[in-house]
Amino acid sequence: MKVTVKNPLVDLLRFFLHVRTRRRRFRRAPAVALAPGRMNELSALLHPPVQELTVLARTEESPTSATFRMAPADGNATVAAFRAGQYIALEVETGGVRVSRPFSIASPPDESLHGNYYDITVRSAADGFVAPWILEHWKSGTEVCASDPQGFFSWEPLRDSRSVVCLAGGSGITPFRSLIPDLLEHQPDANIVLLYGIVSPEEAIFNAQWEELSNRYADRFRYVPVCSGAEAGWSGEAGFLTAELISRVVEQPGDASCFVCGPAAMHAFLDAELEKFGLRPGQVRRENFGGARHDGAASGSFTITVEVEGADQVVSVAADPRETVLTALERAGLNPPALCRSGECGWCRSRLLTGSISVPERSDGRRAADRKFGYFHPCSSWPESDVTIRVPRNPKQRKGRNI
Amino acid sequence: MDTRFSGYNGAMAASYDIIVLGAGLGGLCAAFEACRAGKRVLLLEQHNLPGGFATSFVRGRFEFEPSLHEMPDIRSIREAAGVVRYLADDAGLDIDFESIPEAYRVILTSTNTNVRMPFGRAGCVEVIEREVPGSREAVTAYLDLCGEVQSAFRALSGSDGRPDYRAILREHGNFFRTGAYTADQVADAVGLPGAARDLLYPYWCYLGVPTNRLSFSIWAALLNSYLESGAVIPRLRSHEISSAFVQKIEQLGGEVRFNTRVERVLVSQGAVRGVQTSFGEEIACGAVISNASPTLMFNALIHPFSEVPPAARKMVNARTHGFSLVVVYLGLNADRHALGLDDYSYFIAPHMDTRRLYASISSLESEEIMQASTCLNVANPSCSPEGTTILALTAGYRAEAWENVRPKEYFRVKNQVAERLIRQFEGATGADIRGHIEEIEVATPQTFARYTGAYDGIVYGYEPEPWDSLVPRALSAKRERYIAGLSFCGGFGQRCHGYGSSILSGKAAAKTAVDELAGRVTA
Repeated sequence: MKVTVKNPLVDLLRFFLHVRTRRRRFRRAPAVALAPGRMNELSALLHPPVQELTVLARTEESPTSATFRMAPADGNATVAAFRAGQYIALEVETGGVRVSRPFSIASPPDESLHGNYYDITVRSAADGFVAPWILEHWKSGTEVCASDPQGFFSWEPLRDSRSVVCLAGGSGITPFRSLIPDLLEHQPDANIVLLYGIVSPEEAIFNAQWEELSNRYADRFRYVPVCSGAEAGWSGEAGFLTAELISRVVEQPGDASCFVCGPAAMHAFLDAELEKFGLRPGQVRRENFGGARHDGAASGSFTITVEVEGADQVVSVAADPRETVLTALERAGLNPPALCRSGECGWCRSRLLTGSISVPERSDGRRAADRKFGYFHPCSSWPESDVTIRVPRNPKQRKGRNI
Repeated sequence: MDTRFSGYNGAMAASYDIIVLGAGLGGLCAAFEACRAGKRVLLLEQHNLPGGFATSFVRGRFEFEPSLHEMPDIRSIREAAGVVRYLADDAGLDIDFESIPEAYRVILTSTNTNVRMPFGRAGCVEVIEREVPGSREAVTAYLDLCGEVQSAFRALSGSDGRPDYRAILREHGNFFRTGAYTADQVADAVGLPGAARDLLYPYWCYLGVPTNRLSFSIWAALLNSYLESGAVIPRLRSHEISSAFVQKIEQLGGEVRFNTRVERVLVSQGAVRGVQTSFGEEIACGAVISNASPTLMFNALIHPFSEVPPAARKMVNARTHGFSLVVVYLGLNADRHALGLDDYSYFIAPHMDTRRLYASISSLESEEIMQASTCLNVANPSCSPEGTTILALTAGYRAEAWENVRPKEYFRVKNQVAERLIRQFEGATGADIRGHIEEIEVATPQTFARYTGAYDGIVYGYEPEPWDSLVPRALSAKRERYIAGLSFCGGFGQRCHGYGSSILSGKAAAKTAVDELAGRVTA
């Protein structure tokens, strides 16, 4: 079969002429430079690699916690937009060791973006060394280097139930300070119960705000502080966040979307309690900063041999098998990429060259092909032997701070 | 110690034969081929993952495929040199493939069209004859013509740069006679009925140009390669392809650095000298293979800017930049059988008037959306836990549709677009999606810009109209090299876009770079 489009000769001629058409089009085009892509500009606003912030004000929330209001150091810059429930990772330098820690944004998006600030609430914990350092040193005027907003601890209208159960413990209350007002404001059909586990009444954070919200949205928001260290004079709920308590304050908890943020022990406790409601996997959302826990860790002491992409030297680091590979690197004064510290974001993804690691199933966020080809997330991996790893360089650092 | 993760410590970095800019599929393949040719290779990637669009991401119990729908499985065809054969046999990458059972289902809501198309030319002819009685002869002629075009391409690409035009003209004359025309012009010439076009045209969205402007040659090759040979996907999402490439590159002594953006390509006297990265280091090299587009290279990367020839910017400005996508990734808490999802690939649109469908992608308000959606479990049953399903709904959007979206509205707007796509899918298939969403993620042109750095988040490259299709690009390749030592690969490269084209463009770019280095050495 011979195909003819216009006529046999023209068809052939045109084939051999269309390179000329191309040349002519190129010749006639303007030589001006193109403006940057609009999507690249939008991306730079939503996901700046680093945000240079300054502490504007510090507010004491409890004997052990304070809220820091932070705005861009450059008066012309704006804070990146975020979804209620997201966090930013802050770079903290303590005693010559530079680490990054995730902190939930504790202000609702509307207020934050309108006022061009983020609120971060920091609570001193017994086992951490970063929070006490921040509480001791940060004051108005302190400069802080932050990541772009990150994380998936958000209420998603196409996915989540209108019945929302928020389960907070200790400093795990902070994302709810953003999530709950945002949801009440923008989702008129959302019904929210906040159960807040505290050890003693005076450590409850944002009490006044919760009271105010439960007055304003009396039919849609219920605040239930739960104190475990029962004291005389405490008239509220006592004990832990049990299934029994949840079913008393939530109608049909089996249909709810649960958001859990708190210390690792609370997560473990609630896993068992929430199971009693027969919830489906996606019905429980967890924020688990640094809370990747591993009970079956090996004992002894191992050596982590670290190669860094683009650097010639190899560094040897002592590793305690009860700590994550990431923690060992940070203790040694290295500053590898890290954001979520719970295995899910993959920002610390590194290569395991030799040796073995163990990863608890709950915080195993690795891609299948990464498992196949030998990559792992140091933030949620524990060494089981001496290991050799290769780590990418960390691009999210304050400019000019690296020699 | 402190400086180690910030990399650059002031020393002049060692030099490389070839620096590959970007670890998208083209860059990965180029780096691999350059290593295989014995060159000292450095591959630099701004993201912390390889692959560009060929990657994956995890949400809850699900690992999603961001972009790949299918690659033609050319392995069964003896004379063909397709991409899957290249990956598996030639490059020897460690990738497991899954086969796609049927070609696609096309659902056109305004004409109540709902047809499942099989793989295989004969099967297609039968199905279309059943749906469009009396079309057999024209459809057969049309599909045979598409096959002939692809045979001609194989003859051309197998000729190692010196094709025997006489022989090709003798055996595949229709390749030349149709080569300057659009898909519609040739369909008219063959007398392909409109209702038959409705069933064959859905693949237009993989080229991203409406059929009234789309080069017939590239269209014919694409259509034929799928229908003739069937298609596959990698078992562990396309991150498996990218990771397998990295493994090979490192085995061959190549170096890969992530989190490292090339800020400048250093040029003097019309020739590449090296690159400067986001860590401040300057690295010398003999050649650069860029997986970043000519658009970015000639507008933002070459330093100093005065080294960019005006003709290079004219070349960029003469072309039409392709479109980007919105993809709604859904992890569903029900088995696909229970949801009634029996097909891997769904093309859903009100109609198949590609010109109108294309016009609609410049606005977020348009209701005339075409979606190309895949149910991963149909081809890859082990992709998600038992009792769950992965569904991805994809629609083309141009960047201008999103340009007025402000950052604080962005999350709300993308959810509205996602909901529209979900409703459209539910309406067309009858499946209850919204009642089963366990995980959802929505990618927009902004998302693709963020992770790949592509100009405007463009997923495709320059639009392949007849004058900017494979053949004119290939015939103009020498003339269109503007800087000595600089070649391009990827979706904006010589072979147009798509997984196969991007990968094989890397192979070609490596050959160009290696040949050029050899020439310089002898000179």
